[in-house]
Amino acid sequence: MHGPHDVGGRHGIGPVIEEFKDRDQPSFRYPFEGRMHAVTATAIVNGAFNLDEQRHGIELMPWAHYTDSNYYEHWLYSVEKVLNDKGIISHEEIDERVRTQGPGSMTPNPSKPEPMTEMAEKMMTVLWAGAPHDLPEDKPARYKAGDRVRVRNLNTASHNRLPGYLNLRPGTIHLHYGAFHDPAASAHEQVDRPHHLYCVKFSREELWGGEARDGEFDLYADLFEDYLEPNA
Amino acid sequence: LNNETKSWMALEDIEARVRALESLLVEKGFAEHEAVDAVVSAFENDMGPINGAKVVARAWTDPEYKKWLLEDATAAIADMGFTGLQSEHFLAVENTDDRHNMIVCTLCSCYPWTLLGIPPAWFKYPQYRARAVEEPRDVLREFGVELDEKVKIDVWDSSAEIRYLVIPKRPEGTDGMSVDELAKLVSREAMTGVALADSP
Repeated sequence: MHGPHDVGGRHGIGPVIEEFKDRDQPSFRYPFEGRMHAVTATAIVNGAFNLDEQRHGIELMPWAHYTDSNYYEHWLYSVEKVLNDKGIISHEEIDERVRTQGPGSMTPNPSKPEPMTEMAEKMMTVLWAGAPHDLPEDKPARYKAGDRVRVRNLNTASHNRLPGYLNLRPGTIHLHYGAFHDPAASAHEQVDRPHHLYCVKFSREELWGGEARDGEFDLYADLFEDYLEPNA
Repeated sequence: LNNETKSWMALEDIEARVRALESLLVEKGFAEHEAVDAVVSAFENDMGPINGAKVVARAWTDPEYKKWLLEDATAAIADMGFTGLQSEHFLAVENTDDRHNMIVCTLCSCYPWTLLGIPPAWFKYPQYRARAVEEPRDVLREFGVELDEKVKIDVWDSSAEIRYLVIPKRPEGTDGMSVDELAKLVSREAMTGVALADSP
């Protein structure tokens, strides 16, 4: 869907913020950023929701809220919404807890518990093992490297991983990665459905047209088979 | 006005809400404060660009390893032990005299956590994400990188679950340096393509 998250090629958002270019920026700029990141990862590993549901929740944010907020506010908005919509924790329960929890502060740079708890151990195992996204292929791939394709005119308001600036653009298959789990099936049905994934190459002219203002470049994006159609 | 100074919610209100959310997730059995502590600590201390820098330094000094990295980055990086969440599937792309690579995620902020750590703020906020796919040379200039006109840019939008590693060019004057010394020249910015490797 072309929500506020889909910013590729959008004008008027401004230069990269000067302070952000400081190489010594910490991983988390405020303690709540680290806790939001970590509690989300923990809830996902413990089955509260999945990564695609979390991403879709961010896509559903009101535009101004998305644009004018701390990055981890996106995560907070989405996790709250997903938990509310799934009937796990309601917005009202969080409102109530905020009212009653009293003052408190988060400890920056927390340490691992000693001894490690069972759940902490499990999280370390998953963090370092990962959760592969590839799946056995259920049908042959439609395209191979070198094939000319065009991105379909897709405008569904549900979850996918098609950047809007690629709609209707002609390009060339650069790589076929194999079958990966389809993000829409995962976000909307919580199932793993194999879907062929490709790296597709687009020239600057194919994307943006006109004369190159500042040199030519190529752009590569990773796109699922159903986002594409043949372009002889 | 920018995202640094302005926020939809006050920072203390975000903190209060995140604290409330965490305590409710703990009560419902989906989290545990100690596990959250451990995950924050792992992100802050165990993962980060030094891991990616070790991969790059090995590629600079071991042609066979570089060949493997370019052909099957997932296996070559796993060989160094850097598997994990958001580091399951890799493609490595090499900067040369006539090609420069840069990485963006226009839809969110996909980034190889185990290999490079938590993405820096510039990677996560919309300014870089909007512009890297349309005016990469201007964006590079903002980061202080002026490429020769003959250098072609390849921009990689990580729109699915493949994660990218840029192998920067090995700087001049580094002959005879050890792998550990070389790794110190490789910043996370160089491995996402908004900087060159540092000079010794």
